[in-house]
Amino acid sequence: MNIIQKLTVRFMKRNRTTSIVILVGIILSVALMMGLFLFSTSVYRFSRDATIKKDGDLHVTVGDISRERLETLPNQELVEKRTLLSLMGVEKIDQDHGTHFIVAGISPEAMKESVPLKIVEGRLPAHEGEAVITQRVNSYEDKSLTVGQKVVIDLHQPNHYAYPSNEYVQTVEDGQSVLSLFEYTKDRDLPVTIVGIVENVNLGRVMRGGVYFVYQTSEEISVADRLWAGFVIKDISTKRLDDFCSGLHDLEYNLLELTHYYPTVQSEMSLLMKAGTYSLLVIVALVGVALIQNGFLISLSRRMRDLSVLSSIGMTRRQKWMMSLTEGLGLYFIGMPLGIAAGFAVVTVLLKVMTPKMQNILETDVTMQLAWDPLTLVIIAVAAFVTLFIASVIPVVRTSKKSPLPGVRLQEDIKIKLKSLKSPKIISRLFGVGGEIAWKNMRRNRRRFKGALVVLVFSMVLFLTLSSVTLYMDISMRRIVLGQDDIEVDCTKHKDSKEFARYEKLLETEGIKDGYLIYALNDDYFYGSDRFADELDILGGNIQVAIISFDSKTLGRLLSDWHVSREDLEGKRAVLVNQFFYQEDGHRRAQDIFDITPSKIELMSTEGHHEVAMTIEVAKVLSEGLDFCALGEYTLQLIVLPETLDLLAREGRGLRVNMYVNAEDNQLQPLIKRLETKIYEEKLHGYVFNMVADVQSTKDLVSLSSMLIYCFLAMILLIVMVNIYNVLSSSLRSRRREFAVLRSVGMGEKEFRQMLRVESFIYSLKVVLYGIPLAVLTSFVVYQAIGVAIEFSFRIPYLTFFLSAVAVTVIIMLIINLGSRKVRKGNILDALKWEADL
Amino acid sequence: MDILTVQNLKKYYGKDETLVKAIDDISFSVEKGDFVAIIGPSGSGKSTLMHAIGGVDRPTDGKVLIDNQDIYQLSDEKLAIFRRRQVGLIYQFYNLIPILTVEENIKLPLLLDHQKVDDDKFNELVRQLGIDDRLNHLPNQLSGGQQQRVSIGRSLIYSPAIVLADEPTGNLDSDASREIVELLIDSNQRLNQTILIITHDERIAMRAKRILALKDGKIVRDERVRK
Repeated sequence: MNIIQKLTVRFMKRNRTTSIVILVGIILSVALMMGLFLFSTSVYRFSRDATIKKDGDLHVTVGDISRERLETLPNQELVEKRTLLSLMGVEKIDQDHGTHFIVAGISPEAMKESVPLKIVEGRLPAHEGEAVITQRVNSYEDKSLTVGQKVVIDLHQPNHYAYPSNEYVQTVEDGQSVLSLFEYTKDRDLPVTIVGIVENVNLGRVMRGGVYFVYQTSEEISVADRLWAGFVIKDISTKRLDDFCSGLHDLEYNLLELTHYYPTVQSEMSLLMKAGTYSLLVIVALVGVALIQNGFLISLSRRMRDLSVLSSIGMTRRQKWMMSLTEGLGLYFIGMPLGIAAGFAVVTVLLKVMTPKMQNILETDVTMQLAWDPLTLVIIAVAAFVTLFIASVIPVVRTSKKSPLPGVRLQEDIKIKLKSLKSPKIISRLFGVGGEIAWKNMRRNRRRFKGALVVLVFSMVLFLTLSSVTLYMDISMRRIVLGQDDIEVDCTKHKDSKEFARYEKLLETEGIKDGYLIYALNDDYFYGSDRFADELDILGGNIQVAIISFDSKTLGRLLSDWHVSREDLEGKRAVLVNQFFYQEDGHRRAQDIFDITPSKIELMSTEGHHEVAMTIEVAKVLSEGLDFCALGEYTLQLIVLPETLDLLAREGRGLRVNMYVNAEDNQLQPLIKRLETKIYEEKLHGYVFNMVADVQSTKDLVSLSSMLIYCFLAMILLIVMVNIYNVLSSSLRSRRREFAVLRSVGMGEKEFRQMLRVESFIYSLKVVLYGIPLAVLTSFVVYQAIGVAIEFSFRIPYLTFFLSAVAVTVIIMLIINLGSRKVRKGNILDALKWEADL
Repeated sequence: MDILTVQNLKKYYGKDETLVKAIDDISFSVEKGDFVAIIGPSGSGKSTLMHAIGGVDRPTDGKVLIDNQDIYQLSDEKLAIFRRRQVGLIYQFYNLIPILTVEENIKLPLLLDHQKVDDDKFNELVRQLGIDDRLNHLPNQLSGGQQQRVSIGRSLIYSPAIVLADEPTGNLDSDASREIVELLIDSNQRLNQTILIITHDERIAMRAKRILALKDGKIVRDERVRK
């Protein structure tokens, strides 16, 4: 061991407390950095695994490609795996509007990994002549295939296998989006047995509509002329993906959702994850640098005299640097493995705790597992080293510039100007001589305290900003949850009101506590007027209009409450609700629409490039909105008779039916099952949504995010507290002699405590005065990012702000009190001796 | 042969009304093997002069040549190296490194310079200093006189061109003071070591070969001592 290393080790032993504080800082910083990386990587891997389990492992799909083209595709070396489905043809389902279902041949191999079909009912096709249908096939009107049913598919060959949207097909020709009519050629009749119904698949645009998956062997698929192809890209990255897709520019291709979950692929998701991780990493690094740097500064200032002596007998600046770096490296090599191990341990526990909630949110049974790679470890090691290097070098640069003379002469290198030490009279009047000394000391030490002040303000702002984030998340969650019924049944469009009676039977299902059906035009209408209330300026003179009706029981009750007869509403006449609802700070609020209500409402809509107008007479005006109704946010509601909807519906648009029900206690799951069965048996069309589960998943997401935010905050605050304790207590230690002088001239314990209290108070006041305005500013920035999008007004969490101000004051008082205990009680004579500290 | 030459040395603090001339245009030279006592009242500039000569505190103006090397022409790095090879400093408050043993403290300048320690020379030195039985002690386990002997040992171990002692007996009782002065005289006579000593004590000054008296930053007396 050379003299530099020997000196370093002995200095570290002598300043054991400071060395331990630095070590704790390194361990906490590295653990946090490691935790952030591990956590984000694990969440990434979990999302990817869940997506693969749900949608398969494909990255790119091509909707329609010929065999010749497939074999001559460029950049095939980038492909790790290829999955093919044969495009056998389509089944036309609407003679008038040219929409169709895809009929695709699928092999058992494809069903295993790349096109995982999730059985809702029945089983997967395993033999020739067997097929499964996606749920969307049965959701279409007049279509209700059952498991075991033998059907003959009237197979046609379309001119395009693009996603069917009414009578048009949107295709890409020479890089341009082109709208053209579908053309079909009769092919043959294809007899199949439906052996199962599967969930809708997420395999790109072509497969977005209903699909028949017909069993075929790989050999049969390999000779098909037209194919749907899925590709897994080897070592996927943005460049490799772009390179491969450049060869598909004239084809209908899709990048699947899975590509978002690779850190190497640039996507909004990866950008968000990276931005989030790196922002937090910068915060950790800053806080870590502050703690370690202060630790080194304190450590160096405590050995200033020794360094001066060493300097006077010829220690060079380089040797001083080496000494500091040796110390830093020593602590780094102890702290880094411990920090990495701590990061691993914390994230392992965190993932275990989070798994059930995350599974609930993503509706998967995939388990969250610790994901890491050697590169991550290298990045952490380098980041930690850079952090430590900066933190250890800055103090040594500062100290090495100082002259050794004050050190060897045993003088403190403090230049004080009398002017800067003048204290306001109010301080001495309020707090006496103790307060005056405290003030002067604060003035004298303001440079020394600056670092700690910045760290405290920073952590206060960070805490309050993240508190605002959780507040805004909570508001947005309550906004989603508010007024939500347990179950929503969303039914697809229907041609007329004659079918409504069949849906109303659903309300009689066992287990329903209360509920209603809303019928509505499947159209968007607007009403423009200059007669809106002043508060509605935000709508820009236009308001969306919902023309709705209710199930007969609900409507009968409402009409009776409103003293309106059915005759009053016959024809194109409606009840106008002169109030709409909006959400503010998680509360549903009502707003009047008209100051003077019109007797007629002229409605506007568009049909292609043409405007469509419609007039409805107002039979009755309701001054208050329908508080039970799920509709009505920023919408003018016109309530009509169900049959009036037939009069108003435009050709081909049909009507919408939505049912909202609440379940009796402990009846939610059985009720969902009963409703699904009833819809199926009655050949009704509709999806049952478990809103309770949706709400729960939203709540889980918010609580999980809050938990993570507060975990992160707790760690950061821990580092900050260690730092502040280190700075304040060392500052108090360095004033030991001064305190001894004060005590020797008669300052009692009471005055002493008073002096420290004033110091704490002034210090806290400074933190709060800087911290609160900055936190308001950052909260506003967060609000701009979150709040504006989900429409609620800017709100400051006053209670949190107040409590954090109190907490800062209490913490500083406690630290100063704790740090000064030894100094207050120590032997005066010892402290008065120059070398008592050695 | 002059080992030390000081030319028009000035060290000023402050400016305008608060200007303090700690050293005001001092010039003198010291021959190799000389023993010079610098005396003067408090605030006369003795310590400032010594620190300027020792390369610890840069002067406002003027030159300090040690062994014909203008030390303030050197960079900070080179000056530090020069200091550890050519200048030995002894302080009133010893300024030992409290975490190093007596042996390590004495060898420190050589260790910093990556030089091999001559064991014979070291053993001879500590024997002469009378601390050969205290080598593994820490400074706080020694008396003031013993600590000052260690400090002298540290300044002599590398045979510097010049030893500067700033009131080396100021913190010691009369017996210890006498022993320290004898040690310095002995090293001057036996090793031909050039020594500059700052002292308030007229008796110690009279043991030197030459006395420089300072007042208000100027040399007011420069005379050889008749033995």
